[in-house]
Amino acid sequence: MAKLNRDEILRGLLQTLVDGWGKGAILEALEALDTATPGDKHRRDKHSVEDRFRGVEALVAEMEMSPEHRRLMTDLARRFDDGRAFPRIGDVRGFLLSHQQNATDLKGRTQGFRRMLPILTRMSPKGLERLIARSHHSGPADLGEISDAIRGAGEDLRGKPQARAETVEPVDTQEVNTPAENAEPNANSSVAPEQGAVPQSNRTKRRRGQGYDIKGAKRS
Amino acid sequence: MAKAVGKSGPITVCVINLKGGVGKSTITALLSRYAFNTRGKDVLAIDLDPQANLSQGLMHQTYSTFLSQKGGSIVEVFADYMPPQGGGGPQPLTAEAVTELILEKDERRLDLIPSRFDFSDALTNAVRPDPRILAKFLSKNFKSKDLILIDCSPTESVFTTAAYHASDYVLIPVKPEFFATIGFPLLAESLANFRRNNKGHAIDVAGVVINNAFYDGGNDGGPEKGRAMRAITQECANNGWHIFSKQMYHSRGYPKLMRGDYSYPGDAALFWTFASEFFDHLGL
Repeated sequence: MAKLNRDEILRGLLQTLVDGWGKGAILEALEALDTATPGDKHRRDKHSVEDRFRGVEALVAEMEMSPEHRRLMTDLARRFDDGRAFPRIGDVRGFLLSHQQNATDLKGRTQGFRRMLPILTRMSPKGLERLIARSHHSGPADLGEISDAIRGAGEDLRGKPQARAETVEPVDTQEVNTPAENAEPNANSSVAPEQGAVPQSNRTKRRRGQGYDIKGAKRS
Repeated sequence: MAKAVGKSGPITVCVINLKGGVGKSTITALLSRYAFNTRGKDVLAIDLDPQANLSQGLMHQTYSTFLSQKGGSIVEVFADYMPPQGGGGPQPLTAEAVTELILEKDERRLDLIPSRFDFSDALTNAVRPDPRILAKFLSKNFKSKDLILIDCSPTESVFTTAAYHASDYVLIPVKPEFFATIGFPLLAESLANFRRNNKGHAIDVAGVVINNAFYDGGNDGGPEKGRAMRAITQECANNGWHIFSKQMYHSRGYPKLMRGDYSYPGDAALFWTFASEFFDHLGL
């Protein structure tokens, strides 16, 4: 058997990698590897995505699409590159999984954007506009933020709790019914307006296990 | 049960049980996604519950933006107009104004008519909304959809009647526990009343899905579940309701999926087994 020289072995290894991951991904990985010395790791982490990769805007620039799609896709890609759209890998993962695409092995946002591309290119301009407008959110739904939004919307619609209180004659609190209680029997009473009046300080305490001490309650 | 699809518009199913906490919103959200992603259907989901859990489950964090931007919702559908937004006065109600795009692929979409907490005001107002208004709105604007799923609130109200008016079928989730069948007689009576008052409307119960929303203890729920299942089976037999053979397994993955946390779905990933049986049953 003929002995392979170093170049041939390298070419063989690279070909295997290119076959498995694609040329673009290998080039990106090599660029990242180029700067991956232990001494400058901390400094490198602070650099923008563009320092290490070309950015997803360049990916979009290489694709063929209608002018309107290009405008919107470029806008989204720019936002993605500077972290305004899909700021965390979890956001990318959420998008892919909600479209039933594999995202369990995702290593980075850029890799995720590549997988998002086939979905994005099949969206309508209107759909892309909506996505751009609302893609700055990060992570799963957070009860605190939703509660704050409900409270804000409640004040817009029904006035602030204080303002409401000023317009009501003082009566025995035992006799005060909520609007839901005033509804006819069987009416939906699942959400009382008073839920919107929970003080901000109480709500924010509930986040990340800072509120109810479930373990403590069990112990007692 | 199989129904020809596309002949006269979408199949409309309301997910209901006059008992709370049985998984109505979770099932509606996951069936909507499954129908869109796996069955390739054009889907509309409607949140008819002022708690708006379906809206939060499909929109996740963007629900906060929807509230702050005062997006259109089921409230405007029942009001039958769009309120003035700083000029121009009230506007005609359009499908676009009250739907949120959740997923899109080619020409297909998963749209949502979201709910807001002030939807419950409609119940306390002196003038009650017209229960047929939702059916009228859907018939005008969503005939091209393949499937419409309506998530109902757990107590009977004008919204329940509105859901019946708009629906071909009813899907009933139930938890196999002591209080499981409490909602069944109420629901059976509610449907019977509706049928009596609307003789031209054919509404059928598509079936009952068992949602094991508790830890099964390693013995499939033990005697407690066995007892509840006997009661459920008896009630279903009395009412002529089909029970789906695929159950929803207990999994902490369900609440995670509902809030957009896809880190570990657990046995919630097996939801498709029921979803598949359900859509086959409907012929979708």
